Amino acid sequence: MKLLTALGILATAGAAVALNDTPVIQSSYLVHANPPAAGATTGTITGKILFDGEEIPKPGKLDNITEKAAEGCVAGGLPNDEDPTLLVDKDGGIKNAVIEVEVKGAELALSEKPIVLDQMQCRYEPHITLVAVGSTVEYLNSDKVSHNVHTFPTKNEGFNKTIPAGSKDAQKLDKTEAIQVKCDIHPWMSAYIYVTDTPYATATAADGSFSIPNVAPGTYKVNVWHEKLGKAKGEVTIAEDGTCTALEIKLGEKKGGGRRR
Amino acid sequence: MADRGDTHYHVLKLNRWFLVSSGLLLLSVLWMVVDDAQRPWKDYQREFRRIEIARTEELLSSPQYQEMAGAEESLRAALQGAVVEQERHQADLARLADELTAAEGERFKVTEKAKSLKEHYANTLRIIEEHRVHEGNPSYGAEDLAKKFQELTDAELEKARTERAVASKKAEIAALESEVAAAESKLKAATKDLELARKKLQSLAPSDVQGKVANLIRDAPGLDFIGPSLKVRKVVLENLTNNLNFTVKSRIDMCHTCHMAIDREGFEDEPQPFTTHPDLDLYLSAKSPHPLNDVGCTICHQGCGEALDFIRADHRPMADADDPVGTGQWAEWEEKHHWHKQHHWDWPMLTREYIESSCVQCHTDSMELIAEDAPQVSEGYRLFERYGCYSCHKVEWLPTTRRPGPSLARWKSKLDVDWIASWVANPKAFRPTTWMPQIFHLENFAPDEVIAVSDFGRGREIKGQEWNDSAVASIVAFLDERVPATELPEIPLEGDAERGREVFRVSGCLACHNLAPYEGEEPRTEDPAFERAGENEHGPNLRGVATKIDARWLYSWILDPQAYWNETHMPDLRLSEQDAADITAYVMGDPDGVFTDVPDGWQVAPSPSDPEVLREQARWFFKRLGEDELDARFAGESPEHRWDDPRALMVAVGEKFVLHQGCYSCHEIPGLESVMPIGTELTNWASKTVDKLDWGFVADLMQKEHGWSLNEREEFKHYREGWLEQKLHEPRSFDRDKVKLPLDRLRMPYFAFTGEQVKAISTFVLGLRDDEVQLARMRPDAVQASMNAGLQTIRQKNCAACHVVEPGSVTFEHEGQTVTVHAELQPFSAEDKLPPKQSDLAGLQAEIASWEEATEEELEEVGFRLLEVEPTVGLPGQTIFVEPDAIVAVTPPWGGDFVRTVTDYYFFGIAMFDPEAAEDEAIYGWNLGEEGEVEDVDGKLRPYFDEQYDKIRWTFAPPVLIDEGYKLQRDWFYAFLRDPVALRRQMRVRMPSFHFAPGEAEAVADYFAYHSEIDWPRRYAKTLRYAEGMETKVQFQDPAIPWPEASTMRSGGDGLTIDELVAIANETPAAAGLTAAAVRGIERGYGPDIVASFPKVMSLGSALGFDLNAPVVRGSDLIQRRAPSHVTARGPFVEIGATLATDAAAVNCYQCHWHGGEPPAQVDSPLAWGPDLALTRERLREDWTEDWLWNPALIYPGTSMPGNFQNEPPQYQAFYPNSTNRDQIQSVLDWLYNYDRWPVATQ
Repeated sequence: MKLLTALGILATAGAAVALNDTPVIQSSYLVHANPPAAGATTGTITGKILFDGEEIPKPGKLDNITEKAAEGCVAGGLPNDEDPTLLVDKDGGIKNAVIEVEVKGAELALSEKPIVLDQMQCRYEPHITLVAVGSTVEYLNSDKVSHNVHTFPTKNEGFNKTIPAGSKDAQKLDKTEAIQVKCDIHPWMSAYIYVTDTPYATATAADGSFSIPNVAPGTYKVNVWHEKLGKAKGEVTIAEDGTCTALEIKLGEKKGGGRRR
Repeated sequence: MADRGDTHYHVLKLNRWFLVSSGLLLLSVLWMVVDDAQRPWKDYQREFRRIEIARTEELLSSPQYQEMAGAEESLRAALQGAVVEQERHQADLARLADELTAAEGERFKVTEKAKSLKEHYANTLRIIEEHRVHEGNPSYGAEDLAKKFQELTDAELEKARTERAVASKKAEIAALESEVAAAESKLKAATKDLELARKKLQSLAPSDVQGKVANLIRDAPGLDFIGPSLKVRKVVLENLTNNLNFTVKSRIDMCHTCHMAIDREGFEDEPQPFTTHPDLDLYLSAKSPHPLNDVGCTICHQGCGEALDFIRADHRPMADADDPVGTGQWAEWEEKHHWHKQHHWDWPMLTREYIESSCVQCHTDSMELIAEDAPQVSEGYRLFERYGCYSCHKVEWLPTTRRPGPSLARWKSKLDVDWIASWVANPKAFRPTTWMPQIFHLENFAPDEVIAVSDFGRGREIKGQEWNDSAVASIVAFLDERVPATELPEIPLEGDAERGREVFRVSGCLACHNLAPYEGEEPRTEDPAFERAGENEHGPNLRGVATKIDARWLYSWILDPQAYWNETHMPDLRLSEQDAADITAYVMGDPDGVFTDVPDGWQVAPSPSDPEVLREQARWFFKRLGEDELDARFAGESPEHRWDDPRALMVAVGEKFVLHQGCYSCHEIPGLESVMPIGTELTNWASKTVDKLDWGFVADLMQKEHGWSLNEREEFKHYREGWLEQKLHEPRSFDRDKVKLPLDRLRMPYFAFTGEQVKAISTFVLGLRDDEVQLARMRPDAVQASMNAGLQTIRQKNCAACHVVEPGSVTFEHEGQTVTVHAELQPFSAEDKLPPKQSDLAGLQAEIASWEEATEEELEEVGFRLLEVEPTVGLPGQTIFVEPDAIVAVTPPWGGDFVRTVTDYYFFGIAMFDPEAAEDEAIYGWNLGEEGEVEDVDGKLRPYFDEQYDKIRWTFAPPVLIDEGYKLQRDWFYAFLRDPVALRRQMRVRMPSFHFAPGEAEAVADYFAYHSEIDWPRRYAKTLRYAEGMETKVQFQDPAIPWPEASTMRSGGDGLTIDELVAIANETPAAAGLTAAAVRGIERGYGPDIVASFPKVMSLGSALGFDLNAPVVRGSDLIQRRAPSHVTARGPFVEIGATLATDAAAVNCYQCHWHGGEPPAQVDSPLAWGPDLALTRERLREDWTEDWLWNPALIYPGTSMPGNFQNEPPQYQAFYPNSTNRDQIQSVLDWLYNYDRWPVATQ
């Protein structure tokens, strides 16, 4: 029996390698279905999302990673304990905020590349994934330990399955919303899938900056969302010549432990 | 004829008289005939016939029937064609008929011949055999026998040939006639309903002259005794008698002579008396539990069942909300029917308001079971129990006997004397919601009224105020004297009020207690502790208690409530001494200004007492001693009764007052434990006739006061319920305007019942009858009896405060139909942390309105999560979105209010207002941690405000008990209730240790088991309908894939409609005849339909290869997987199961689950903890565990437990080569149920 098991493990290892065929991990899978015609004047919206508050929060640590709980996650060590839920740089730039520009008539095509949310060294990679409504997301487990993918949608169908070490599963997301993804087995793991219906959306970089190209001249509403800091609204105008002043939108800190609404 | 003179009478005169009298007789006969023909019920029946004719005509002209009629024509034409065609073969048919006759003749001959040959052969054989034996010649007659045998064989062959010939002729004829036969049967099938309707119309209103004449003659005056179509309809109830003035006779109900459609569907909108009964499922229909032929009408409705006349039936005008005494209908009836009350009938019909009272007479042993169908009387029953009415008023069959008020045997450790005095004088001044009634200072001892004159009428006048004050003071003196002082030890630990606030919140105190401000005050926070939710009023409101009790007492009470009062409902929460000390510090220190908050006007002061008043009271109580003896005692001349000492006098008078008022009925008082209660026995109260009730002058006073008309006064005066309501509203009012001695005055205390409570209690008391009707009493079978007992215990122990016992539901428009689903509302938007509170439709609308106001957005859709399989809608866990307008009804879950208290606490902390701050200010969250962290069981503080609601709810709040009987092994459940073990160790809420009376814990466990069993057919039907219409990802190789496994393969499709299922059933021989109505009945859990049609649904299920694990098998929960043979056979797989379950690269159970007392790897994340796996084998039923492993979300939508075995292709091949998901689950189950036998290395 032991021999059998050992053989089995070898076989799975092989399968895992085959599965791991270099998945391209990226944050946004938004594809224009009807981009502005080539040659038309368009502009690029750039800007920064900044923290609004007296004191810029320091990067947090995940304090529930223990050796026992994280056994098998990382060979000879512990998973990265950087708290990905709120990352603000020294200048106040907020990472992983999502910006959506309301452009009427803009449509999304489904990504041809597989959309992969990877579980690697007991963290999600990437922390935030932008996908078009109707996309199928693959939950990949590149680790040597099992994870479960537990999503907390309000509108889409729920998902809570174990993804054994080295395997994957997939789910289609049909409604627009930000969905938290958690692993109950490793409670520090958390990620968001942002399901959107506009190609004019992106997530901010580490310094809070973003850029959304290919926008036709006009005035648009802008929606900003961050998992911890909530929502903000703004407006942007692209001049007829395609120029556009850089946006700066501030997100304030929600008060923890406050009453509902 | 001339007078012959030889008689004493005058013949001519006599003849004249004879003529006159026979004329009169004839006239009166004619009058009788005419009058009989005009009886009102006949008019009603004629009217009803008109309605029926109109309806049938309407039906016949409906498009559906028109279509049928159209089809009929073409089918008739087809039949005609077939007949014509057949006639063309007339010659052939005639020839065939002749040939058939010939063939049959031949067959007869041949058959007869064969028969006789057979007999002959048998005879010959017998004779030859005998010869052979006698002669010893074994070959004797062999030739003869062979010849005879040959003849017989030939004849049999010939017979077979002729039979074939007959059959073939018949077949030829049938072939020629088949067209006609087919056309005929088609016509018959297509026009069955049409023909029925036509026949009915023909019999109601014949179209031919003969029929018309016949009908006229049948109902003609004078001839209608033969076979009338208008006739009295009646049910004779042999067993249910009426007691009419010492004569007991069978009850005969004729109500449906006029109420023609009372037991027929489809007349709901007709006017009275032709209306259908509003609930045929429950009453009158043949399959209902109260069929018309068995129970009749008057058993429930009362009135005179044998009267065929509107007035004599003792109809009652109906009261409604706009017309509380029913005067509108009263006047209408007076004008229309010359209605008046029947003064000589003791059982006037009950109005709809009180109709439920009749349930009591037959359901004394099943009061809990009828709660859903008879809410008002059940509420009355509960109030009767809660307010302890039974402790003064005996009701023989009432199962509860405990004293409702706290024991006073040790009161000195809890309260002080002055507090008691103020409380006895008026308990509601301290706690307006208390169940303790007000006994003193009531209207028949009005403050200024002269109650007595002291010194045998020679002294001063004593007014009501003094009388009462002195009574209260003496009662307190008596209690003080009678109860020895008890000194409790000091609290051994230092309490921390801040921590106490939290312990108070999370351990469960608020499940039964609340802190709601009293009437008139709005709570200043949204905190659930400040809302009265029904279940949290099981124990007293704790506002102000710090001013009442002693700290040492509170500490000891929390740790062991039974030590103080052995009958208390308060359970033992098994708190640590530190927890108890902290709660005590919190309550007594009262940092939030709640526990010292008492109503305005409440004052703690001793009750004044005047020796002169006391002496007068003593004179009344001890009147029998005589004036001299009394004077001697007052003067201190009686050594045993030194009443010159005011204290001794007070104690003596106090004891008399306690006995007089019956305090000992509700409270245990040392020395008075076995004194009889003071109230009237109520076992048969409602059998009392109205004239035996003392109405006093109240009716007249009412008339004076309210200016009521005579009718209204009649209404009040002549019905029992009028008296009852008045008694409950103003218990002493029947003393008004009367002159009575002080001790003869009415003693019933004042409870301050609301109007609704009075109605409910009156309804219950009106049902306390001792009729012969009791012969129809429901005698619960073993299952019903134990469910009744279980429900009673669940109610009395307040289980539903913490646990959801039954799911709530949402009714909504779905694809053109109205669908009701078990569901829970979801948050209105992703930003809302919590779902709205689920109450009723109005509640939901209010929640939506307040959401829209707060967000300034319009709510487009309401989402709710399904809690059970719902065909054409979805699976458990799926969220359904509908427009707010599409929601027709919402019902709340039964129980689980405390869940919100817990989740609120973890998310928002304790919402309190700062007592120092102004109104509308300083509402803030209070937690132990500065950032809002909550203390966990390990003593560490952790933040939870960013967590998901589902995780908090399933992890930290009390578990739901929906279908718990399917889940738990009954024996374990018994043991757990009696002695709870730590199952979910992360929870700070405690499952209390209740003090169950013998049988109570068993009844609760049995209740859940039986409930699951009874509920199963409903689930089965729904799941079958879903599964058969579901699309799956893989082709099933195995026809019988159990349901939860199939559910993991779903790729689309939400099940069949009922009609689709019925269509399939009717193509399946085993299930043919299943109707849509029956399926609908089964799916709403209607017993008669389940009994009649569920076997068909099951046959259909097995024919389709559908499999659903069955519920509890009555008897034992033998664990199959522990059988030695099973263990031997499965040995290696148990090993595999163990590895599969525990390896980090596989399922990794130990990451989250406790196991044999060992913590999980996630020891630092209580939010991730699961129950102890070692308990599985003794706790969970195998079927449930299997279902759970397949698809946890199907059982607890939103649970953190993932689907571990839903992978495609199946994973974990390294651990279990070539295994399917099913193989893996089986091996893990084998391991779980033999956990104790396979110690695993990782353990």
